[in-house]
Order: sequence, then C-alpha cells, then structure tokens
Amino acid sequence: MFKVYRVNTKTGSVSCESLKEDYRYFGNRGLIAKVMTDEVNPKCDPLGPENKLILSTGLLAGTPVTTAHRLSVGGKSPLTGGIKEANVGGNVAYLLAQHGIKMIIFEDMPAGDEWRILKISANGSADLVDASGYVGLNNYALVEKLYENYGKDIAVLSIGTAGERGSKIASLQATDATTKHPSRAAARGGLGAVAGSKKIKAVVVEKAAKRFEFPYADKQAFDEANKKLVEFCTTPGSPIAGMSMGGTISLLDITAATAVLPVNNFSADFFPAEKLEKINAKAWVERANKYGGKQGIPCQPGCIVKCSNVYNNSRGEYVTSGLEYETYALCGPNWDISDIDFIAEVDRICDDFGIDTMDLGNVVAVLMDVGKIPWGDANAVRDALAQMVEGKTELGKLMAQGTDAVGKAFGAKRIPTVKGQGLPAYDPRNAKGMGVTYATTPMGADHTAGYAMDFMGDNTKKEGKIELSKNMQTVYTACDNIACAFCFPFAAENPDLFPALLKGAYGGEWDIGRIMGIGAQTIKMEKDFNTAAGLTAADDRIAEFMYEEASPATGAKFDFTEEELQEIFK
Amino acid sequence: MIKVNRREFPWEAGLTVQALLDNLKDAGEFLSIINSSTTVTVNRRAIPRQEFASTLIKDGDELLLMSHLVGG
Ligand code: SF4
Repeated sequence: MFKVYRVNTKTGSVSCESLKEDYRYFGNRGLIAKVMTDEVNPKCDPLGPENKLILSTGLLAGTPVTTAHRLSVGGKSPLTGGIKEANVGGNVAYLLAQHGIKMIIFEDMPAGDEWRILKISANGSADLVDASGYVGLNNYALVEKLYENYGKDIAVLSIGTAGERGSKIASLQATDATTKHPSRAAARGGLGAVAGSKKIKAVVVEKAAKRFEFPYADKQAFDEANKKLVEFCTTPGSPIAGMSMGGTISLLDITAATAVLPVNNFSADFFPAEKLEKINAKAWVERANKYGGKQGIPCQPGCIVKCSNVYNNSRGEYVTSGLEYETYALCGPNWDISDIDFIAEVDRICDDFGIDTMDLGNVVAVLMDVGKIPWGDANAVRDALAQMVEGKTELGKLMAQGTDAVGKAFGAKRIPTVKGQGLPAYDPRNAKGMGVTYATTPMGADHTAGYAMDFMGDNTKKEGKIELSKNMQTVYTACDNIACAFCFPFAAENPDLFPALLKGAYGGEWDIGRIMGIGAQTIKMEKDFNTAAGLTAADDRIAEFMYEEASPATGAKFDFTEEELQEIFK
Repeated sequence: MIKVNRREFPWEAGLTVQALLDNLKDAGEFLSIINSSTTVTVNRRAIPRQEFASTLIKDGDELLLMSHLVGG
C-alpha cells in the first residue's frame, strides 16, 4: 500500500502509516484538502505549530503516465490566510513514488533553532538530519552542496533564505529532472515560509534501491490506455505537441494581441509594437535557442509534452530553466521591460532566493507605479532585488512580504491582488473568465485553478464567464489530483483516455464525470476550510481599481457584482 | 497590408485563411499557435475550420489567431 510519513518537527520523530482508505481516490491537491480538513484548525496561525506542511503525489504517481509526477505542497497560507496548494514539476514526486510514498506531513514546530533536512534513503527509510551546514544558503548553492554530499542520484525540495526568514511569498524549489538545478517552484502562497517556521531546510530523496510496484487492478488494460494517451499527446498538430515549440511563452502572442498581457502594472493597455517585437514568441524562440539554450525539454521524468527550456547567457553559461509565460510577462511588459536576458536573470534570482516570481512581478510593478522605481529601469530593479535578497534595508524586507504589504506601505491605489496574492499574467478586464477564477478560487489569484480563457469568443464580455470559470475550476482541480495542467485538460476533452487509465490502475467503473467529481469534492473541502478560517464573500473580489479603471485598449472594466461572483458556488 | 495578432503582414490578392496560416508557418511565425485547434477570427468574426480554404482575406483585414495554449 501507499505510504504516508508523518514528521514531528518538535520531537524529531518520523513515523510511517498507510494511506487511509477514504484518501485512496484523491491525489496531490485533493490529498492536501483531505488532510487540512481532517487535521488542521482553520483558525490556526499559518506560521505556528498547529499548521502542517504537506507534500503529496498524484493519483497515477508510480505509473508511466506522462506528467503523472507533479508534487503538491500544501498548508494554510501566510499570504492568503486560507488553504493553499502549490503544484510543482521536477523529479521529487517521481522519486517519492519510487518509494511508494504518497504523502509526507510535517507537524508542530521545534522549540529551538536547529534546522533539519528530511532524508529519504535508498532503502525507503526517512530520517531528520542536521542541516546546520546548509542554513543561510540559497537554493542553487544548497543543491550543489547536497549533490556533493549525497551524490547526484537525488531529488531535492528546498527553501532559500526567503523561506528561512519567513517571507510571505517564499517558494519551495524542486530540482528539475533535466538540468538538475532547483528551477521548478512550488511558488504560490508563501509555503516556503511554512517550511521555514518548522525549520525544514530541505527534503532529499534518494533513488530507490528497489522500486515500489504500483498495485494495478488490470495492468494490461492500463497499458493499452496509456498507449492511447501517448498517441494523443504526440500526434503532430495537436495543441499538446505544440507545447514543446515555445513552451508557455508562446502565449504572449495571443495575450499581447488582446490586451490580456499585463503592461505597466496592469494598465490593461497594449504593449507598444516596437517593444513587443523584442519579446514576442518568435523573438523568444530565437533567443532561447541561441548560445546552447534548449526548448522542448521535460521537467519531470517521462514527460512527453516537454514545455520546459534551458536559458543560457551570451557566454553559453546556464542562467535558468523552466522560464514560463507568467514570469516572462509579469517581470517584463508589466515593468515596461522588453529585455529577455534581464527577465531570465530575474527568474534565476527568484529561484535562488526562493521566492514567487509572480508575486515579485507584482511587487516591483507596484513600486514602479508609486514612483519608487522608474518604469523600465532594469538597473534600479537589480538594486531593489539585491536589497531584498540581502534583507537588511526596510525596502528589501518589505518586498519579501508581498504585493499587499508593499502597496499599503506606500499608499498605492493600484494593488493587483486577490486575498493578498499577486495576480497572474492575464488582465481580468480583458480576460473576464480568468478574473472570475482569480476572485473565487479558494487559492487566491491563481490562473492554474481554472484556466477560463474563451478561445472561441470575446474575453472582454462577462456573458458565460461564470459558467466557464466554474467548469474550468472543476477540470483544473481534477487535473491537480492527477497530472500536469499542460496535459490533462486537453486529454480530458477525449472522454475515454483518463477514465481508462484510472480503471486499469484502480479498478471499478470510471468515467469523466467521476473524475470531475474528484475536482468538485476538492474545491468543496477547500471552500469549507476557508469559510471556517474566516474568509467571506468580501474576500472573493478582484483588485479594486479593476472595477473602476476601464481598459484603454478595449474599454472593459471588471464588472461582476459580488452576487454574480457568488453564483459560482451554487 | 493585413494585421495578424496586431502585427502587420503583407497582403496579396486571392489570399485565403488557409494559405495565410501555411505562409506564417513557413516563415516561423506563431508556430505554437497554429495547430489543429487554432481559432481564426477575421474582423472579429470567427471562421469555421472547414471554411479556412475558401475564405478570402481582404486588404486591411484584422485577424486574430488563438489556440488552446495555457500559460504556466
Ligand atoms: S508539461 Fe511542462 S511543466 Fe508539465 S511536466 Fe512536462 S515539462 Fe513539466
């Protein structure tokens, strides 16, 4: 059976139990919701002993299904005050699944100041080991040191100094399967600070000496279904096959053309053509393939979608990997910047320090909007980021506390957040379905919670967008139990693929309705947790200025009433 | 001259939606947007896929190409 490790960070004990029977048909995000519902006081202090830090793997982890090895990190968020699940690629979940580990739950808090690493050894045993030699290191140096000590056959989930210092936008970084660098981020909601509050610097997972065997109900049926999924993903011309060409950054051509792309702190205007030319999908692909850079690489073993990339500087040296649309847009046009090298540099700084690039994108944009940093001034941004990483100046410390904190400190009128979390890179006035998702998902402003872009219609119109967001939230939450958002939602349009896989894996009757039911149940648990934590309909609102300021490009405002938004929960 | 996703491209008489998509692909433009799920609008009107080959583009038309791409 699947294993669950429970780590008491106060006593230092680690125990192993079997996955509970009623947890069996949940994965990743659904498992986080289950544990939070059953075990965590919704009113607890996110950085106190009652909160838990949960790691979980997906329903099909341990099988060869493409993208089945996403890792979820969960707990109560210090940023939103609600439940949080942050989902990450890389090789950590893959190695956990090799050991048959479905979840790791970190509990309580140490009384003293000793930092520790949870080490899963090749034989599957789990122990807390002293991390004093690693504290104070940022993620890249930390991972190099761990490779020196434990060899390269490990996967690492870690926090940088942002998480150590309790930054509300601190990430946990996972090692990438291809580059081996800590470039994949469980970025959102400040869960890196929850790890920091429990003095957990990293989780190190060694390759299993003996691989756990997935208990298939019908292996032959499973293999046949998996063959069909592979065919579906690799057929030339399919949207999935296209993901390996420019990755998610190709989306910029669409969002820029529709004023969905955030420009100058979500002004909802078009990015000027001469600047766009330097940064559009074509420019990106040309630049990214130069100097030994690569497109179309997998971030986790067995991924055939391969949307990831490696970005090198002009000397051919590695800068970053897994540079994605959100970072590119929020740390580029949203700062009036069209310099790809600079955006890659920012991505590297954030991954190293261990901070969410999306929140940082919003933090800096607000600083520009209030005049603290000039628009488009890369050197001034470099200086501010150096202050943040060093953590000595007031500005540097403030930046690490997120967009709301910065906005309030400087009296900003335009603070692009929902539930304290910075907006992803779709302007809610010109992408209304996305706005509905940001406002209503229990996760705070989060595009992957329900990707509600209307590809056949007008995204500036509100008609049909509540329904679209509701459907997409269900699809993407089901996805967050099973596989990567760049595979599952496309495959789910074919009603047979995933039901057949789950039937082969677990037995019983599966159809797409049952899978969507897992998504719906997960959202229900999350919403109930947030309600018990004290969040209300008043928290389900987009940033105030988006109700008042019309988009100069389209004239659209975010015009949903509170009642209309609450329809989504009916 | 026509506009595709707000960028200017040359126009020639007889240009169809399908021919334009083929030309753009050959030129390495919008590579990951042009696939079997691409939606094309001409002056905000969506063109059914089966009409790509017969729909003529006029000089000055504004086209939008969309595809089921998701951003991470
Ligand atoms: S599709 Fe992209 S993000 Fe998803 S697992 Fe594959 S490489 Fe990673």
